[in-house]
Amino acid sequence: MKRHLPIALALGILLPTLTGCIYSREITHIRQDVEKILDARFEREFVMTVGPRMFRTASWIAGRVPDVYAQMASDYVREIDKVKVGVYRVEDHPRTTELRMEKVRRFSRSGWETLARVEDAGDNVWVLYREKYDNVRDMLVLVLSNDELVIVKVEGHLNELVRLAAADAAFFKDLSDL
Amino acid sequence: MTHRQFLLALLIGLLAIPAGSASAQRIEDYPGYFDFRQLEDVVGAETTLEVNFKGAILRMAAEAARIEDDTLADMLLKLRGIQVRGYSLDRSARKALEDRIGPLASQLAADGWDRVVRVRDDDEFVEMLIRDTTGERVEGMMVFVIGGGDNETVFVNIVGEIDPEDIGRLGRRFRIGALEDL
Repeated sequence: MKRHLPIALALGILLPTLTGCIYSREITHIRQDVEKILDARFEREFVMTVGPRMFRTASWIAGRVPDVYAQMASDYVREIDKVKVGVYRVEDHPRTTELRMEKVRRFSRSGWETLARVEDAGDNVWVLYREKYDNVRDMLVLVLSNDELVIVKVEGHLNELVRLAAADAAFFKDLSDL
Repeated sequence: MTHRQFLLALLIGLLAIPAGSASAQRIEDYPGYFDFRQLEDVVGAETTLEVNFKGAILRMAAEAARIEDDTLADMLLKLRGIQVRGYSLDRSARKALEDRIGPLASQLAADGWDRVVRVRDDDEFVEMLIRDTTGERVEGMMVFVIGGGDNETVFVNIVGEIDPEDIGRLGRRFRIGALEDL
């Protein structure tokens, strides 16, 4: 029993911080949209959502570590609200890769913009983002290879995250210039 | 440089950099904006590379750039957008495209853009145009590059205030070959 105590404790801490950890309706809808447009079929391998409680817990723990980098990590992690990941196996290969996100109703209606799209050697990558109050609040990355579709969505105060990183970098630069 | 390398260089370059006080004005309303939909019929091929930096994402990129290069960050803050399109074309398609881009550049020149660079040789076709409606500053830039390789057809539109002296810096930072030496 003693042997399993650390595992039980770890699970006791981690489980409440995961929200909807093996299912995400949003990721599923995105997968369905992609299937429809590309005339393909994908089979779920893995879907995970890490919610705000997890990030707040991680931030809290890192903030108590007496190390400047851990403190920085604590600040960065606090700006992330949620990460959703879906990994799907390609069952039926797409007949086309012409996935124009601006033409997908779900994306255009909810304000998604295409940051980047690249097609190279059979791999396709789409990077989308969404603004709220003049800040980047969500980013969505889709990677379609010959055998896998990976969907990652990050929600948070991403402008603030980069601003913090830049400020920290400037601080260390100033220190090194002394 | 392949499109993937170009994209990576651009993303790292920009994210290793937020742009500042963007007004609520839409990027499409700026004089230096080029609507890439005009190119769909001209090129006749699907894009294999598409990059669009504007608004909050451009400001974020400028903030990230400040980590390494304050001047570049300040320059990005003056911009309203960066758009890139890349195509994968074989030699015959590239040659055919050169014949269609020339007249398009001439049309842009007739619409108020100034042709500042024009290169035509066996391996490279470059047309660079700038937009200056006030006579005081460059408000936009359009670069058409058709290189010698299958993945070297890249078109770039930079919207916003650009100091011509910074164009080379932008090219070197983001590895846009045609701009690096300017």
